[in-house]
Formats: sequence, structure tokens, C-alpha cells
Amino acid sequence: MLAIRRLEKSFVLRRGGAAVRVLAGIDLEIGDGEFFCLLGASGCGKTTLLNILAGFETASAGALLLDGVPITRAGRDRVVFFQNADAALFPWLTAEENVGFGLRIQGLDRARRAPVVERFLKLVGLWDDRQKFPRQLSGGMKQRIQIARALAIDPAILLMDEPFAALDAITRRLMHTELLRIWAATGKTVVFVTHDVSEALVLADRVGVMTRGPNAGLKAVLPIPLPRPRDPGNPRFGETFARVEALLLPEAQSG
Amino acid sequence: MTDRVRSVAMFCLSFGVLIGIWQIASTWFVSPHLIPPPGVVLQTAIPMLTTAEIPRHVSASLARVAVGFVLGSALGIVLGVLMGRIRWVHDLLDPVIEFFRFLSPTAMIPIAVIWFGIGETSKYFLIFWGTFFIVLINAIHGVMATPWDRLRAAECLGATRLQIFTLIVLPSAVPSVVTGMRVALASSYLSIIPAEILAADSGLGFLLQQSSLLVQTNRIFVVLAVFGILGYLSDRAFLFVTARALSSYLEAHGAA
Repeated sequence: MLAIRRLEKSFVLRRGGAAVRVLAGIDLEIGDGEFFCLLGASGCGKTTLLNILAGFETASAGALLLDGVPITRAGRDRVVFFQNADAALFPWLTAEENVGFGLRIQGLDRARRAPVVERFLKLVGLWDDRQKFPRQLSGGMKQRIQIARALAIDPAILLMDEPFAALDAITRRLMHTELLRIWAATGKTVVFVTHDVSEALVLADRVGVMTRGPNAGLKAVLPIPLPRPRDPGNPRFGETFARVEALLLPEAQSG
Repeated sequence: MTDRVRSVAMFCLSFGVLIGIWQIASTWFVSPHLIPPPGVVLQTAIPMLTTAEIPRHVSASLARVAVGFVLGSALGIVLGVLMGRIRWVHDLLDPVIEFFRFLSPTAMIPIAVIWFGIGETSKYFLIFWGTFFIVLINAIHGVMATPWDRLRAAECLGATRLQIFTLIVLPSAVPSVVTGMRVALASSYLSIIPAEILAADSGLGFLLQQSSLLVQTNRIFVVLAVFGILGYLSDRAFLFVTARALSSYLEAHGAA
């Protein structure tokens, strides 16, 4: 279980300037195998929260526990999935070398990497493209390589920062289906950051709606009890959408 | 294939037009003592090539460029990578480098002659000087321009600091370093001539200087032509070798 207790984060933006409190008093527990979406307007601090969970940044106050152990730095139990695949993938490595990277740096030789790499490339449907370089793959394929690369080291948690925001609408929908299939097949905990209400409702077990920053916190945490696969045309989906949007809308307006 | 045919045709046409204008200018407009016609230059060139006069000076110049270029690139890469990666090394050395890099190799010729004489060492030093700063600055940039997400991706996949450096930072810097080396190679050719004109007893610059003193315009043209061809071929060779040896690191960034 991932537990976030009274988490705060302050930045000093300018040298000598006052510290700005970006996140204030975040309390949240995310269960094993849960799909949790952090929903918030641009600039509310949701990426900062994700970076703290990843261990890239440290909290100013509060506690962050994974199965009771404090998180202080990046670790192989939490893999981050980035929006910009061109930056995040290693462009000089082929698809299979990218997927095997996490195992290679642990010192596993090629023979011991091969079955793991094969399993996850097949899981994301890119086994036939294993010899290709990222530049030879489409945006959606690159994101699937990222998923396979993350899963290959068997983390407990996938941290996803608006992973599909740069994809076209059709590819994004396909990736949602893919991700839910992979999530169901692997049982990983997913923390998924997005500003898209519909995306959050298609994916999540629970949605955490964030307030506007600075001093951003969680406005509400809503379970989404709709059966999967979820159809945005369904009236119950529309009802939930309206409810969540009503929570989010005041936070997105400036002033 | 038609693209290839077209580019070869344009290449020939480009030089054809140049030689045509040259011929017309030297026949009707300008004294052949100032611009000797292409035929005369060719006639001058043949004995210079067959008597090994040109090959001797070419190899002298090339050896200087090669030594200075390799040393300058090597040190530029090593120091550039350190400066790009380690903040205090960067902050300590950057001001000094920003000062020195504006001193061109030509500006350093007088002191190089005093320090090293007119032998090979002064030429190595001057080519080194011209290469080092260009490669250095590109290496620093290449290291610093490694995308954050790429570093963080490696970090959360469990890479150690050393692994991030060798497996992520260095490969990410390759395109920038290669670009820097290519520019530096061209700059080596720009600085070898003045160095040899002012302080040498061999090399193409020396040959130019000698021909100028004797007002042998046709010999000057031969040397200029040889030098142009040499520079062009060096650049092609550099591109060819780096494209083969480092293909996955270079192409990876091109079409992203």
C-alpha cells in the first residue's frame, strides 16, 4: 500500500524570494493493484506530487510510505512513465534493448533477459517490431515500449504522468484499452495523472480531484463504481462526468 | 537512383560553371598573370604532383592537422563531459574558457613561435588550440542537453550514477560532439595555412608563401585548388566514418 500523510511541498522560485507552498496537506492511501487517477487543472501541482512519489523530488513535510517503508529516492519498485516518449526512450537502442535496459543494468546477461523481454513485448503487441528503433515506431507504439520497459523490471507501482496527452484521440482510446488490459493482466498499482475528466473516468478505480495551486490539496476522492469496459455514451458515465466536472471546473478558472 | 544521378550531375555542373567563368575571365577580362587560365594551372600542377613536391607538403600539413585535431578533440571531449556533468568544474572553468576561446589560432601564432619554435610542435599546438574549444563547447552542450526525462527514466529503472553517465549521458552527447568535431576539422584547415605561412619550412601554407614571394600566380592557384579538394575530402571522410561507426547514436536523434 502507498500511504501519503500530510504531505507538503514548497519551492523557492527565486533566490532570496519567499517559498511558495505548492502542495499542502495531502492525505491519501492507494491500495495494491488499484488504478488511481489524480485529476487536476494545469499547474495545480499534480506532476510535482508524482515526482515526489517517484523520488525525483523530496517532500518539504509529511510522510510517504510504501508498504510502511519511507520513500526517499527513486527506486525500482516505482517506475515512471513519461508523456514524451522521444525523450524518455533511449533512441540509440532498439525496442527490445529498451525493454531489456532495466535488467541489463542489474547485470542480467542476454540469455536471462530474453524471456522477460519477449514476454512484455508480446504483452504490448510489439514482438514483431523488436528490432526497430524508437524513431521507426509511431507515437502509440513508443508508449507501448515504455510500458513494456517499465513492466520488465517488475515494479509494484506504475507512475504515469499524462502519458497519452500527446497522442491523437483514436490512438489515445486504443491505449486506454491496452493499458486496462495490461493492468488487469499484471495487477500493478497505477497512479495516473491527467487533466482530462473523461480519461480519468474511463480508467480509474478512484479519482482524486485536486484543488487549484498554490496550496493545492485533494478536493475530493471519488470511487468510480462503473463496470469496465466503460462507455462514455452510457448515461451513468455521463452523470459521473458531470459530477466530477462540477468539482473540477471552479479549480480550473483563474483568479 | 535518380536522386543520386541528379546530385552527381549538379556537382559536375557546379564545377563546370566555375571553370567556364574562370576560363572566360582569364582569356578576355583579366591578365593571365593575375588569374592564370585553367589549362596553365593544370600544366603547372602536373610536375608539382609528379615530383612529389605537392605530396610532400600535403603530408606535412595533413600530419599537423591530424595530430592537433586528435589531441584537441580528445581533451575537448574529456573536459567537456566533465564540465557538462559536474557543476563546480563547469563554474570554475567556464569563465576562463569563455575568455580563451576568443583568441583565434592566428592570434596565438606569435606566442606559439616563441614557445615552441617553428618546428612541428608549434603547429600541433595551433591546430589543437583551434580544435579544443569548439569540441569542448559542443561536448558541454551535448551533455547538458540530455533530456531530463531520459535521465529520470534510467534512474527509476534502477541505474546507478555511473551507469547513467556511461549508458545515457555519453550516448546522448554523441551527435553534438560529432557536430563539434566536424566544425573543428574545418577550423583546423582554416588555421593551418596562416600557421604555415608565418612559421614553417614545409606544408601547403609554406608553399603558398613561397609562391607569393616569387609572384608565381599559377603555383598559388595549384596550391589553393589542392587545399580546397583536401578540405572537402576530409569532411566527406569524417562524415563517412562517423556515420558508419556511430550510426545508431546519430540517426537516433535525426528523425525523432
